[in-house]
Amino acid sequence: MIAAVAPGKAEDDAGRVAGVGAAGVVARPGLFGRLGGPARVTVVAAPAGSGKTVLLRSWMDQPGLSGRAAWVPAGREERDPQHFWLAVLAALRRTVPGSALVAPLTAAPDLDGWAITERLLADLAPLDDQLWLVVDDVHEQGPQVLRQLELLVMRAPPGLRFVLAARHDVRLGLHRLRLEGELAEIRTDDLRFSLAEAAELFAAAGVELPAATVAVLHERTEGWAAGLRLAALSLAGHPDPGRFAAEFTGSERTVAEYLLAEVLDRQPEPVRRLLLRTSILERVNGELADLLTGDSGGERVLQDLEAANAFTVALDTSRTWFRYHQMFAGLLQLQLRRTAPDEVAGLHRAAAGWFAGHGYPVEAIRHVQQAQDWGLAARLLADHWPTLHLDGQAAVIHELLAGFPAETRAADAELTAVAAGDELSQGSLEAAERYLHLAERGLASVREGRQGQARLLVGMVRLLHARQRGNRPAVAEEARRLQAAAEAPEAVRPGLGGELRALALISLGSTEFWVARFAEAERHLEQGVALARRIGRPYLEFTGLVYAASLEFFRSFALTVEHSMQAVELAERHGWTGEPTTAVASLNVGGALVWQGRLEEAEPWMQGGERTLRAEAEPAVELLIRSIRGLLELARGRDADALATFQAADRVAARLSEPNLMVHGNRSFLVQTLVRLGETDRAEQVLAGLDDHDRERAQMCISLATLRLAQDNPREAIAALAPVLDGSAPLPWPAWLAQPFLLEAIARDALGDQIAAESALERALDLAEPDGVLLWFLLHPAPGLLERHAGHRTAHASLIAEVRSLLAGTKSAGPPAQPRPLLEPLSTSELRVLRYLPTNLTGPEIAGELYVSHNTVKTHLRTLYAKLGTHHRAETVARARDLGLLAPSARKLSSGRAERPGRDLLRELTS
Amino acid sequence: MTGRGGEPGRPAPEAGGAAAWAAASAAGRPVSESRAGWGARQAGIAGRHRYQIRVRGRLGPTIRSAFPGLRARADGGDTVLTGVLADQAALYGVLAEAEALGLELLEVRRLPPRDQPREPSS
Repeated sequence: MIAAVAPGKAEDDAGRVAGVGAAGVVARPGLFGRLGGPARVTVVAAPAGSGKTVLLRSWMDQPGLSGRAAWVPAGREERDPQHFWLAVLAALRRTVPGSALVAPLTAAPDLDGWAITERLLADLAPLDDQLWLVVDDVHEQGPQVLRQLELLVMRAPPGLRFVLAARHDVRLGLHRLRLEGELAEIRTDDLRFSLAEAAELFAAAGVELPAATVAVLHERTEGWAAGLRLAALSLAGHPDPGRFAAEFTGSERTVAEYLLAEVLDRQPEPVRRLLLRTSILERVNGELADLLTGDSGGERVLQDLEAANAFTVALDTSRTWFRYHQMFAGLLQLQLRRTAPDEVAGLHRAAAGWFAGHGYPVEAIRHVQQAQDWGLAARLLADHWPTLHLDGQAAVIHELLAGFPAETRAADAELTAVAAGDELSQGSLEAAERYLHLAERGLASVREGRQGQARLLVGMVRLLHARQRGNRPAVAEEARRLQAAAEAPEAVRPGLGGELRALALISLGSTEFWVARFAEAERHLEQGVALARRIGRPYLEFTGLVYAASLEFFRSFALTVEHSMQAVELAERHGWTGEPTTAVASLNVGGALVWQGRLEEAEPWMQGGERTLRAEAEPAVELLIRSIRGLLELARGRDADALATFQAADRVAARLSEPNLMVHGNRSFLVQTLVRLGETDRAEQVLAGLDDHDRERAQMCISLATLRLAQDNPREAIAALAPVLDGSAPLPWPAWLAQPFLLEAIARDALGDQIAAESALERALDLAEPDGVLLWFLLHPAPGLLERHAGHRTAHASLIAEVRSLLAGTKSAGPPAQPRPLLEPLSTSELRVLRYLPTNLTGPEIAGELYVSHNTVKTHLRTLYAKLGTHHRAETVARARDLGLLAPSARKLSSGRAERPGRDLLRELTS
Repeated sequence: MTGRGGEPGRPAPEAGGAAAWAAASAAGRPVSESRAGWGARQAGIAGRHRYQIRVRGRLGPTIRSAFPGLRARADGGDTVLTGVLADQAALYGVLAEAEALGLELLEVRRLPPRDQPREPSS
């Protein structure tokens, strides 16, 4: 007998899904209890069709869990590490506690999964509630995501619970949790339906069966969820359930195959056709279904299938996109290939056309590849490469490239250029070079309309290649070539090419900035930012803004601060706060504030820059950070700290291969600091060690003047300053010129020449006024001179008042309030080891996690201790937290779960 | 092919054999020898070999079409898939396919060259 058949049954059931109304999910309180139990991590491991997903979703639907469980599905896209983490963040933000704690993040090129994990830990540290992160199909993830997930599990706040579902056990180091009683497992046998549950499932599906028939079906399916559900679908509206059960039991065919055939047999032709033909899709909507079947009403069929719980899941709340259960789709695809092999390629082609036309290039390319139309697939990938690259989909690009036959990859110039870019991001430089070579050779055969775009693409990849090799002359050369390609009119095709061109302009501009070709940099950045804004590419806009703001540093502090802050705001909105480019923006602001004497305001900006600094960074960035930090400490009166920082910067300067504005400025400050510390002999030695050319530079003349003033020799100080003041020894930007005029004023004052002193001071104030550069007046305090000058005719009375109040304030500079910054930045691999220190893994275990030897970990630990100035593990973790290198401790807040403190690796180091 | 896998008809003592033992006994079946364990690793990863994969239930034409390179033979209530696979990657590909289709895996063995069954005529 059939109960509760769909309301549509009476009117028009010709094209409707048999078994509609067969919905109904069995509540499984026993398993629900285990999922919500005391264990911090629950693993659900069982083969396909065991009912993992249905169990988890019905558990999450319980009223008590609404808004406290984040669901991360396992679509194909989530297999990309960056996309997996973006999906985790998005899912957490949809929960009640998560929406308050977790900051948003927008996709961008090269976002680092490790950094995202760290920031998630920082965001969730204050979590004082229970929050479940439910990840489906964990077995689909690669080793990198698994290790990051494992780190998250190990360091998560106690309120964060994990439910991880997988078809087979994955390497997640969970045995440690098992030992600590924090792991619960739900496995195949636990998921099997009991006889009572099976009866309930049939009843909920509207199928009334005699108890004996239920028992037979339960035995034959062995309580396997997919089998029972397929049986319920076959039985809805079945005239003779007893016979069905008997035939099923009599068959030796596998449960899934037998029952799928039964289900399909019972569907009206349009539904069967839809199921078979749309099985080739990763996801389907009504329009696509109609396109592939040539029918109409596909959306209703899909909604009916979902309502019938027929292995069809809606992907959105408005129920327009659906996905089939993987095993079900697999079986349907096999059936389609067997029964209509000639139609498969045509279906893929039709699907590709739809996806391409609706802005889903990745799916379009996958279907074109399935249809084996390699030429079209290659053109689509080349056209969409900039979009995918900017969306950080490096892993997707890699996977799509792997979908081409090797000979296609080598023969198509644009595809070869994409392959070269892929090798740059995750392969070998040599392979990239080989591909670039092939791409260059193949350019001639690219057809007319695509020539310009192809040249731009090859040029972009060549520039990236030169940058990665760190070959400066080659970078400059490639930048010149790319400039020609980017400015060629044929580089832009209508509707396409805007992203590629914006990407090229911004890459070009930032490269030119680093090689000090400022005029070209400015032009390209300006064009690039405007284009990025027009086509809606915030990451490019942000990068361009940062470098444009850096250029303004030499002209106007107001502009550099304004534009850098705009860029930082943009970065904050999108969650790119840990990016190296954001650090450059922070430094612009921090540097300007230091020069303006706003020292405490500068501090957080400087820390923001210092935090993201890595040993592998551009030496020019490190030099800049150190030099400004030194100035900040010097202005605060912490001369010894300043000296150490300037010395560190000077060591970095030795690694630079091209001239840099900061080298001599830094050395000048180093000498001035020695003078302030009373180390005049050492200051003399540094100056004597320079060659004549360097000694005659304006910055060094200034440092010599401070030395002579300290030696009570104002006459020689004035002599040293003369070439700077008459312009024969130029300074890089005008605000700096205030310093030699101030020193001149002090020297003249010492000689008793008050008129000359006041005129020099007025000149210094003139130069300092536009940008409010007060730094010099802090470094060379002359309160008496200023007081007297304020009483005379000066155009800068308010500036003088500001300096005097600042001088009064800094006198009382106390001990360092902030943690002292690292003198040497951490390398990426040291940072990786550091991230494991708050866990209770031993040295050899950390080595195992990172696939390196224990000796390597020991070496990194020694360096970490040295760089952080610490002696054991707990101290290292505490200091790294103070510096913002590690997320704050969440466990401290809770009672029972303190970190293992005295777990000191020093012992292991010496073992 | 090395002969390290033990005598035919006797359980192999190595790790791979133990896993097959566990899988087979869990399914209530007699344990047959496995040569796909330790010995296989000793022989190296590369190279074509003939494999035999036993799954539970009779596979119909639809599921059989998922394993085009393998010959399917019914054996009692099970199906035995036999065929030459290019390398370990191909073998793992077959196992992944079986997993995706929800098949219950009972045994995997690599056949020694000398007691290979005769080539099917098809």
